[in-house]
Parts: sequence; C-alpha cells; structure tokens
Amino acid sequence: MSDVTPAAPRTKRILITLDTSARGQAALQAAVQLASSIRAELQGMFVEDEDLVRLAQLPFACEVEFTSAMTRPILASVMERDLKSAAQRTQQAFARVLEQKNLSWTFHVVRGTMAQATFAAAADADMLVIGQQGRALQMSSAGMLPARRSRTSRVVVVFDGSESSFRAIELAHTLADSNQSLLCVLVLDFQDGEHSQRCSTWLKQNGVRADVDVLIDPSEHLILGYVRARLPGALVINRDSKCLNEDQLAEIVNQCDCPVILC
Amino acid sequence: MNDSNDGESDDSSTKTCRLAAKDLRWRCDPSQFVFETTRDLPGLDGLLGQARADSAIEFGLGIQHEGYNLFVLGPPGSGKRTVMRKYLEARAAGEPRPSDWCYVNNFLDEDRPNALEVPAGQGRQFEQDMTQLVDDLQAAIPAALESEEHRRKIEQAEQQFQDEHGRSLDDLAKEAHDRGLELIRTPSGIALAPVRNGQVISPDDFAKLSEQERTAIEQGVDELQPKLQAIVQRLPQTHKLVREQVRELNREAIRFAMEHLISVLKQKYASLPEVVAHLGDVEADVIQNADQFRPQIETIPGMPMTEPRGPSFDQYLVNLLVDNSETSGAPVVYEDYPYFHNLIGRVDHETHMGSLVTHFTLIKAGALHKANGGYLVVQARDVLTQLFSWDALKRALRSRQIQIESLGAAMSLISTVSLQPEPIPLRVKVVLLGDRLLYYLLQEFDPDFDELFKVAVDFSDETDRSEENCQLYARLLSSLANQYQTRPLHRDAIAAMIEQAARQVGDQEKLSTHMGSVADLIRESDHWAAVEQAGVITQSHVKKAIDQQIYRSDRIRQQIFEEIRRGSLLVDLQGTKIGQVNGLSVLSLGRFSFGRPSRITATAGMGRGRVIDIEREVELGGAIHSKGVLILSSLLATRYAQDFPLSLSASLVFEQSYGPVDGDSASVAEYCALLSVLSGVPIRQGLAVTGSLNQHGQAQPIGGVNEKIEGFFDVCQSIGLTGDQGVLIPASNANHLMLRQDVVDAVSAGRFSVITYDDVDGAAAVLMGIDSGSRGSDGQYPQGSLSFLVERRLRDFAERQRSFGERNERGEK
Repeated sequence: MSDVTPAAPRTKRILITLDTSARGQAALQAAVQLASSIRAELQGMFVEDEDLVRLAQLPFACEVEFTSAMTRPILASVMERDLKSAAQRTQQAFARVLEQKNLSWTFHVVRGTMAQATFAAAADADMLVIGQQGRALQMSSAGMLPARRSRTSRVVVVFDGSESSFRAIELAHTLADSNQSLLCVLVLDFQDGEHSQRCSTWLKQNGVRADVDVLIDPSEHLILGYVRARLPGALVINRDSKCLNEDQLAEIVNQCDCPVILC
Repeated sequence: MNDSNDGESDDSSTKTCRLAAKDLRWRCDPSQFVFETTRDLPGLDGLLGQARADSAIEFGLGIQHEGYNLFVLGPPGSGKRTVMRKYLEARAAGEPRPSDWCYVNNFLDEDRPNALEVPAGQGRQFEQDMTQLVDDLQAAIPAALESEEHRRKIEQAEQQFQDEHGRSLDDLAKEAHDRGLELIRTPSGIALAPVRNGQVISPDDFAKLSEQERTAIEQGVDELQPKLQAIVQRLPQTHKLVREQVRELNREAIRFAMEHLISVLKQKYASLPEVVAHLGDVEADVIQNADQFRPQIETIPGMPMTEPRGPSFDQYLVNLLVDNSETSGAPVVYEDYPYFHNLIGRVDHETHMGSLVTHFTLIKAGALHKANGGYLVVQARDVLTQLFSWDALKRALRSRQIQIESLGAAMSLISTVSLQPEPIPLRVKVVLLGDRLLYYLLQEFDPDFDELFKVAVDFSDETDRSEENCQLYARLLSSLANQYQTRPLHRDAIAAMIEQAARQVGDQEKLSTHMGSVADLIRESDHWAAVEQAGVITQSHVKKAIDQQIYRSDRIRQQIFEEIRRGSLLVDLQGTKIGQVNGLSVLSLGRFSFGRPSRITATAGMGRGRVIDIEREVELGGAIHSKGVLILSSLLATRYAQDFPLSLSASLVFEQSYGPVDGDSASVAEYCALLSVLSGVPIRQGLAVTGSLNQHGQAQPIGGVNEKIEGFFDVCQSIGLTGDQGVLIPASNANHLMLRQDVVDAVSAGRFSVITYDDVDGAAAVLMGIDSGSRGSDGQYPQGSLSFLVERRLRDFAERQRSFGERNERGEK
C-alpha cells in the first residue's frame, strides 16, 4: 500500500452507549482502553428507549417474563421507574470505573429510539462504542442460549479498503495489543482481491500479526455469522463503510452480542 | 597434737590418722603418656567408661520389635546427644532409604486426602509429572475446546436449538408482523407491540385508530400471547438439553486431548498401583469438570469489568510431604522444638474472602514424617513441656501411624473447615534424651512409658581411674580438641585435665565423664593459650582456666571469708572453748561449690532427756539434719544413760546461720560440742570437723570433703596459719581427697593438717585432747576419761531430777 498512509488515531471524544448488561460492561472496558491509549474524553450515554415507553402506555401492553414465563401487564409507571433506575445504575457504574482510571468523562441520559438517539449523539463524536442492548430480540443476549465465551480473546475488525477502514484496523490493533488479544481481520472484498492485497500490505508494513479472512460479496448476515463464530471481545467497523449501508450497519449493531466500535 | 606428715596413726587406741601430703591429692603422671601432644594421638570414637550405655545403645538400636524405643538418661552435659548422634548416624548410613510420601486429593471426599507411598526419590518426580500434566492440560484442553472442529460441533448443537426454537420464534414474529405487531425486548422479558413505520405506536395514535383496527390489534396480542408464553416456557428444558449436549461434546474432546498424556504417566508408574489408580481418578475428574479449563469471568451485578479469575487446578497436584531423594541411608531427625504440630505435622490454612480455608497442598510434615523409616531424637523435657506433644508421640508410637490432627479444631478453639488426612504408617525408633529424675518419674507415673520406651541407656557420671582409662581419657581429649579445633594439648595439660576430672567427682579412684565440663575446660584453656600466643595448651593454661572459672564464680565466697576476717562472722581459729566447735558446710552456687566454717555451739541443763535442734525448731533445719540430731541423742542415751534416766535438756545451734541447713555432716561436730559442754572439757578451735555418725558412734563419709577442707584452709590462711590448724574428716573420705595444690603444700610444710578418724571417740580425742575411755569390767568408765566426766554430769542431772521430783511429791518448795 503506497498511496494510502493511515493517519494515527486522533480521537478526542468517544461516545459510548451502555447499560449494566455484560455487553455494556465489555463495551465500557474497550472504551476505557481506547480512551486511555489516546487520552480521549469519554461521553457515556444511556438511551431510554421511547418504544418501550410507548408500549407501556398502551392499555393491553403485557410481557412474558424470561425468568418465569408468566405473562404480566406492563405499567407505564413501572416502566418509567425501571428505565430511570437502569440509567442511574449505569451512570454509577460508569462513574466508578472512570474515576478509578482518572479519565475525563461526561454522562447523559437521552430518550428516543435506540438507533436514532445513538447516531444523533455520535455526530459530534470521533468514535462510537455501542454497548447498550437495543429492543431487537437476539437469541443469546436475551438469555435464550447459554452465553459462549472464547478462551482466546479476539478483536474483530471489518476492513473494506477505504481510508477510514485503515483507521479501524489500526484502532483494532491498538485494542488487541493492549489486551493481548488476537486480531481478526474480515476483509470485505470483490472478485479482484484488491482489498485483501491492501490489507496484507498494511499488516506487513506495520508488523502486525492477524488472522485474515476474506468475504466476497458481503452481507450483514454473513458478517454476523463470522463475528459470532469468533466470539470476539469487540467488533470494530468504520462508520462510512462503502460496502455496508446504514441499515446493514444498524442490523449488525443490533444483532451483535459484543460491543461494536464505530470509528 | 603433734604435727606430722608421715601419714601415721596419731593414736592407735582412738584410730585417727594424720594424712601425709601425698595422700591429699592423686597425681596423674604425665610421663605415662608416650606422646608429646594430642597431635600425635588418635581420637577416641567410642564411649569412655560407658560400657552399660554402650551395650544398651547397641541393643536398643538393633532390636526391631515394637516398643523398643530408647530413653537416654544422664545429667546435662554428659555428652548423651553427641554420642547418640555418632551412633545413629553410623548406623543409619548403612540402612535403606525409606519411601517418599505424598498427599493427593481424594476425589470422593476432599476432606480426607489420600496418602501415597512411592519409592525414595520418585516422589519429586511424581510431583513434577503432575505439575507438568496440569500445565499440559491447561494448554491441550482449551486447544481442543477452541478447535474449529469442536466449535463447529457446538455450533451445530446450538444451531439445532435455534433451528427448533428460532423457527418457532420466527414463525411467531412473522405471524405478529402480519398483524402489525412486533416482538420487542423489554427489561425483563418479551412483549408484542403494534408497530408503525418501525416505531411502536403511541397511545394517541392508537386512540385515533378505528374501532376495528384497535380490536384487531388487541385480538392479535391476545391470540399470540399464549404462543409466545409457550415458546418461553420451553426454553429452560431446551436450554438444559443444549447444555448437556455441549457438555458431552466437551467431555469427548477432553478425553481425546488428555488420553495420551495420562497413559504415558500410567505406563511410567505401572509398578505403583495406587499411583495408577490416582491417575484414573484425575482423568475422570478432569473430564467431569471440563469447564474449569475455560477462563471464568465473574460478573457481579453493579461491579463492572471484574477481571477474569483463572481456574485453580490444585486438586490435581501432588503435595510431596516427605522427600527422601537427597537422603542417604535412614533419616536421623533431631527435633529441638517438638511442639504438637512440629511433631505430627499440621494442616495450614489461608484466608480467602475473610474466611480460613485449607487444602491438601497445605498439609505440612512433622518430625515423625521426616524420621519415618529412621530415627527421631528429642529432648524428653521439651516433649513433656509442650502441650499435648507427649500424648501425640505416644499415640503415634502405639498406633504405629501418624494421624495429623488439628489441635485448634479438636479443642474447639477455632471453628473452620479442616482436613483429616489419611494416616501414614509409622516405623521409627524414637530416642528421648533426659535426666535421671525425669526417667524415674515417667516410669513411676506414666503407665504407657514402660511399654513404649523399653530401653534405658544410662550414662554414668564417672568411670574408674585405671591406667587404661587414663590413656583412653587422653584420646578422648584429643577427639574433643579436634572437634573444637583447639590447639593440641601437651601431655602435662592432659594430666592436669585428668586430675581435674578426678577432682570433679571428688574421688581419687574415679574420673568424671561429664563431657560438657571437659569441653569447656579445653576451650577455655585454648583461650588462655591464645592469649599467651602459645602453640600448644600446657598445664599452666589448664590451671589458669580452672582458676579463672573459680575466680569468675567466687564473689560470694570471698565476701563470706572477708566477713570472717573482719570478725562479723564469728569463727575462732585458735585457743579452746567449751561447747563450741567449728563445723563445715558447703554452699553450692550453680556449678560452683565452696566450703566454709560455721560455729556450732551446745548448751545443756537438767531436763527431760531431750536434745533440742534449734535449726529444726525455727524450721530452718532439713529432715536429714534432724535425723542426725536424733541419732546423736540416741547415741548419748545409749552410751551414758543405761541405768538412770537421761535427765538432760540440751540445745544445738549453727551460730549466725540465717538460711536453711540440711545434711547430717555436722552430726559428729554437734556430738562433740555436746560432750564438751557436758564434760566441761574445752575443744580446740584451730580444728574443724566434719562427718556424720551412726547410733554406734561410727563415722560415716560425707560429701564435698575437698571443698570443706579448702574452705577452712582458706579462712585460716587469710588470718594466718599457725601449724595447729587442721580438719578432721571421716576415714572413709580419705579416698575422696583431691585437694588444691596450695593445701597440699601447706600440709607438706607442716602448717596445716588433715586428720581422719574412724569413730566419734577418735574425733573427740583429737578435738579435746582427752581419751573417751571404755567401760571396765566393773561397768565404769576410767576416772578422768571423757566418758567418765560426761556420765558423771548426766548422772548428776538424773539425781537432781529425782530429788526434785521427790520434793515436788512431798509438796516442798
């Protein structure tokens, strides 16, 4: 790769959406490491899902509980209280970690739909780490499957050959290096293999060891399958991917078990 | 008394003897030694004068039956430990190495770890092999579990679940979608929500819907809700099935991954069935608990980012309790601090989250474990004074096994989980070292003692002074000089040390075998030789060492002598006095003893036939002293009051004595003081007398004769020797004389005397210059004899007593 020289990450503000779930904690861990390595400010955010509020206000709203399989009505007041409580717990956990790490931080709670609120807030951020579970139903994260964890921790990065994907791969390398994790690169390529070549050149030039897999004619489902098979600690994707549209990106973010870092 | 130094009898009728200078000290002739210094003399390996102990050791160590443990008795410093060390190490070197012992986890009951016996030296190998196995498993099992093939199998199992339930959920989601509904996740479950344009419909929008639309939505929710509930209800069962399927897959993978690792070890230890069985247990446990080989991530609600905690594989390790890999021969263990846990081992605890926990790897060996198959040497006093140690030792010897117990738990001092390790068979020979009193007390009061310690090794304090023993003594000194790396001893120094050995036991015909004192004397003589920059220890250095030992200890003696010199302590050393005699006593201050004169006085008057021991009346006199006084009272009555009542009231006292007095060595002196006061014949104050008497008036030997003579000599010398001064001692003490050279010189020069006597009449004759006399055919003592005068006085008392009684009966005043 001679025509593209990736710039060093200069992220100053990292936005992280999180809750107290395992995914949220993993996201916080990844975000803290990134912020520490580049001395960035962390902006914590908890989204009070507006859809849930609306649902609770409907007269027939009820839910089937995972723990008992019982059906019980959803009350608006209880939903409000649960969301506020979750926001409070998230903020406390966030603050506790950040104060220990001596990092600059802010935290705010917004109400809206998960995707809209997240992407709106991310407009001013240099990097987005998504750790809050959305409303989309996932078999494993919903507790329907035993949680699987890999003994070998991995960081998966999606590389589409764009300039910003160089930034993504460098960021993923930083994260993997500080965690002593294995870096897995998923190259989204076409038949000509150009992206694969650029990726291997970059890895060679920078002396980075990584497992590289190539996906021809990618789709969000294939990417998700790849990610799930490797059980990564984090998934790094560049926001302006030329291979994935916004809906595909949102689907990956929603369906992924691990924290997703959009840079 | 005529001065004489020829050692002849003073008076054949009274059987006294003035000793010659040559009789006062045995001389060890250096010329009997053919060597110049100990450099030319081989050391002595065996014991000196300890034939009985030697035989007992050989017997005790040789016999292999139960209960034949050894109790080595003798005074402190007699060299018991050193000798036993030599014997034990020599014997143990030729005996086989005992096995190693390990504790391993008991997978059926973790509170009762299993003991494994493996041949000597293999314990460490086994420990290393198991540690390596755990390392290998930590690498091999995760690799097997993370392999693509295995992961694929897992995913297939999970996929099966997703296929079954995902499909039903997808079907439900599709059906809901057709009705304008969507499955969404709530904080604690799943709900059906009406969705328009990707968002849940708001209440206002819902209200704006037509009646028909609202009913359709509500109806849809009502109809789909039970289906959703049924799907969720099936989840746990399916979840369990998936887990079991995954677990079985994991087991298969692990079994395959570890099979070759375990089989190699099983082959290696094929000759040790217990080890092979343990390896089988390990294999089964690893397969059963496969998940532990994955990193565990502990997630505590509200505590983000808990660090992953590595699993513990301690249960597969080996606690090598006894390692004999470096041992040659049987072990000989010296336990200087035999407290309970040091003796039988212990189970340590460590704190975890504020509580005490333990594990078989925390089992520690005790002295019995280390000595198993060999010998354990402990001081009897130490093991008896440590709480529960003696009972624990006896229990182990009786049961022939070592059972580690938690003292704290047994006494309910601590309440925590502890282990009950499998007992280890015990085959050990225990050697207790102690003094004689302890041995006899244990024999008397501990019923188990005789059964467990059948062999008494009695170290003698002294040995005969034969020519052969003198030669052996010289070799012993040579050994000690080598052992303590001192300068070589010249033969005249050897002679001086042997003389000192005789002096120590106070016997011209014996030598002390107290090795502690001998060793001290060699080291201190070496020091004085070093001060003089001499290359060899000579007689003068030995003498200096002895003198300095005395000088460092004799402050009290000098103080007493000074008090006598200044007249504060009243002792007459010349002239004559009625009813007053110089007795001699010995004061012991630690290892230093010295003699001093004490004034003994007697008074007598008419009374009821009683001799009052004032020391006893004020409870300063001991039982033996009182016995002596009662004997002399009896002797007085027997000799002089045969045909009239003993109407005497006499009292005896140690003047200026303010401490306890015991022993009967002053009974001859007391008797003479009494005879003097009854007869009115004065006693020569230049003489001191020591000796005990029996009921027939015969003199009996006493202890500390050398110190007593030297004590009186020192006092006389400090005031000025007159030539009339001397000491009377029982004839049976003559062989005990090992007097200082200055005393011997004074006797040789006729300035001091040491006189022996056979009975009290002889002593009285020398002290009072008058013969006691014997009853004639008429039953009367000769006129003017001492006995005549005494009897006359006693008869007078009796007569006056009788007439006094008659007057009383008549009522006369």
